This record gives sequence, C-alpha cells and structure tokens, in this order.
Amino acid sequence: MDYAFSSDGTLLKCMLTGEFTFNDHPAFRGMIDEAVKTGAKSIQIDLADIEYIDSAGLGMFLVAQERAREEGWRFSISNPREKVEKMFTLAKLGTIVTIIKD
Amino acid sequence: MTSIGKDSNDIPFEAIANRQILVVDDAKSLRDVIASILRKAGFNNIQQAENGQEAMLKVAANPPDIIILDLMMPIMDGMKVCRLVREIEDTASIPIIIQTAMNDNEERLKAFAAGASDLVTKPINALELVIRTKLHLKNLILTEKREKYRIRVADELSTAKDVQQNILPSQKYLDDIRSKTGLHISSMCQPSSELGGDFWGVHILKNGSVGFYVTDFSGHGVVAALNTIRLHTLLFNVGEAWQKPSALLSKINQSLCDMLPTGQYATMIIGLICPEKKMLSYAGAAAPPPIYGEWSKPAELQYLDTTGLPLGISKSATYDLKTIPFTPDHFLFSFSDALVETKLNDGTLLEGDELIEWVKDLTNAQPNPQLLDQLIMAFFENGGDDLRDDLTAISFDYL
Repeated sequence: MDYAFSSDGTLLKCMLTGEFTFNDHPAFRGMIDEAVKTGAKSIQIDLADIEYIDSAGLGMFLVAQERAREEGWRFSISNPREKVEKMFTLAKLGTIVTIIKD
Repeated sequence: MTSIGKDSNDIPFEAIANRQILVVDDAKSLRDVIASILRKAGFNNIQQAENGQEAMLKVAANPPDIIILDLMMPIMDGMKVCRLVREIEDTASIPIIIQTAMNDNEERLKAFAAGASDLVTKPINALELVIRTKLHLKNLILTEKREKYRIRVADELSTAKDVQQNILPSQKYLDDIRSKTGLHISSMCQPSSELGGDFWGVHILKNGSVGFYVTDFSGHGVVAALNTIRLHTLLFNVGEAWQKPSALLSKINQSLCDMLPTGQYATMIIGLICPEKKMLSYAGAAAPPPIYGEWSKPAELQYLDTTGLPLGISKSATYDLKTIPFTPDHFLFSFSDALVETKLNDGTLLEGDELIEWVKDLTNAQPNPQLLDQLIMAFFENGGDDLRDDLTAISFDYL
C-alpha cells in the first residue's frame, strides 16, 4: 500500500493505492499518526485506487474509527470499488464507519 | 525467552576464543606468523594445513569455524578450496578469509566469486587480521543463535498447529453423525503459514439435529490461531443453544467483544440442520456466502445470505435467523475466503458466477459425493495452491 495526502483545510484525504492487507498494518498506523498530526478534524481514507482489502485491512479501519472516537475527530472511508464495497456490505461496515461516494 | 542478541558487540571474546581456526598456507613461516598473531590475540584452537588438499581433508574430518586461506598453493589452490567448501552443505557457511595482494583487483573479485567471505591484504597486518577474525566468528555465533531460535519457534508452531488440527471434528465423529442422521460431512483445512484463523466445528444434538459453524478470524498466524481456540472453548458444551443459531451467534459476539481488541474480529456462519424437519436454519456474520442447492436443480444453485456485522466489533449487533429446506436432495458447500480471493493461473478469481459454474460442471445435475475433493483439486490445479490465506471448505449432503 502507498498513500498520498490532499487537504482542503478541514478535510484531510488519504488516497491509498495498491492492496491493503495484513502487512500494511505498521504503514497504515503511521499514516494515521501523520494525518492526526496535521490537526485535521476530519480524515477520509479514499479507496478509489485500492484493488483488494483483506480481513486485517478491514480491521484497521475499525481501529482507526475507534481512535477517531477517542480523540474526537471524524473518520470516513470513500469510493470503495465494487469488490471492496461488496466486502463492506457483507460485513455491514456502513453501520460502524461512514462510507462516502463522491 | 532466550535473547537472540542484536549485534556481534553483545558477544564476549570468551565465546569465540576456543573456536577452531584453520590457517592454510604453503609457506610454513607465514602459517606460523598468522598462528602466532591469533594466539597472542587469545585464540587457542588453531590448526594448520600446507595446501588445499590437506585443508579439505581437515575440513571434511572436522569442520573448522573459520578458514584463513592463501590462494597460490601447490596441489590444490585456494580458489578450489573456496568452491569445494561452499559446495558441501555442512561447510557452506564457514567464513573464509582470503589472503591476497592489495594490487590485484581481478584476483580479489575472483576470490569473492569463488565464495570468499572477506579478504586480508598481504603482507598481513596483525591488527586487521585479528579484527576480521573476531568479527566473522562473532557473526557466526549470532547466526547459530538465530538458527537455534528459528528452529525452536518452528517446532513450537508446528506443535501448536497439531493442537489446533486435533480439535477439529474427527473423522470418527463425522462417521458417527452420518450413521445416526444420514448427514454426510466432508472437509478440508489448509493453513497458509503454519497456523491460521480458519476453524469449523460440528455438534450433534439429542434430537438428531446437527449444529455447525465455520469461522475465520481476521489476519492469520499465531494470534488468529489462538483466537480459534478461544472460540472452540466458547462453543464447547453450549448444548441446546445450537437450536437457535441467531441467538447463539449473538452470544458468541458478546463474548468476543469482551475478548478481542479493536481491529480483531471473526466472520462466522452458524447453522442447524434438522434431518427430521428437512430444514436448515442459519445466521451469518459476514462469512463468505456458502453455495446451497439441490443436486437435481443445478440452475437454481445460489449463495446464502450471510450479511452481518463480524463478531467482536459491536455488542449491539444483531443477527437474523433464516430457515430454508434441506432435504436429501440438497447440499451445502461452505468455504473460507481464500477460495474466492486467491488468484488463479489465468489471473482471475474463483468467485461469483464462476464458482457456481464450477460446481455445476462437477455435479452435472447428478449427486456428487466427491464434490468438495474434486472442486478443491481443480482449484489447486488451476493455481489456487499458492495460498496467501488459510483455506477451509466443508460440504454437507445426504450422499
């Protein structure tokens, strides 16, 4: 997984690319740390360029959601592709994390 | 836990002082000089050989821990010794320090190509020789420690895998279910990296109904495997709770919410097959949807709906109970996501309609008691054997 940030002042978008799996745990945590340090009140993980997410990847979103709740910032996920979206639907992830299409 | 050491600085000189050093040179005076330098530095197990052949005899009889090797020698030269030592498995990792002339670049490259670990330039600088010898022997010890640690961990993982496999339903138990109810259950379970988060279980109730579950903990390896054992304990002896899969699933969810840290969860399906009523009731928590249908109606094969929040995430999650017919003409094929998420040789995934087509081809509107074995074999033959996650598959039928 690779990532890049883009910000409009209030919303920090983290654009992920590649695959998002078990091995990306440290990188994802580091990315969230970095995103939080910018002071953004809203952090959005964009999945438009993510082809595949495994179960551990989904778990990392839950960890990020929990952290957002504790630290008082907004966490959301945007633009999952069809296959990833199917996985989210099966797991009812939308009931836990805000999923946006833009 | 044994410390495996971080770098060679952690290793005291005493640990290497008695390691055997083989000095190979055709000039006795030079051998003596080198031996004397090393002895003065505190090494006290120094052997000598006057050409490559004698060196190889000594290496074969009693492999040294390090070789300090001259290149130009009669009978067998140093390059040949290097190559031979590297070719023999037992000696391949012995460090070899070559003595070479500073100005001969080509020879130095050739020495490395032949397998030299390091070089010292002639005339020998005593301090440099001692430093390099110490460094290589300390690294050797580090490698030995790491290898020992690796072997121990591998042993433990393999034992743990046995423990996990041993609590899966035994063939004897499945045979027992078959003789009592007519229900035929086949299964396969292949962890991807020694230990896995896939697990399943089955339980026959007093009234002849059969409860089952198929689960997959997020991630894989040791943590996921430990979680499967926890789950096995949770579902051990729940008795009549199997009668209502949705309530049982909620109960397991409550327990897992307390047990699992955020980010770890399990997907699961719990089912109850009731041979008397010819019904299957089930509840799903994001488990890969199993394939369900009748042998005689291949056009109607379908995926069951297992939509639900995975277990261990939220205590407020609820799970729906679904009830469908399960007659002697029906079958159910359940599997973990490795089946549908492993790329085949042609780059595609075996998912959706494609998997249904495979099942159709293997059944051809006829009951097929070998469906699971044949499907998994075809999957492996098409490249599915390169698993990056655990693979479990279970089939239920009355054949």
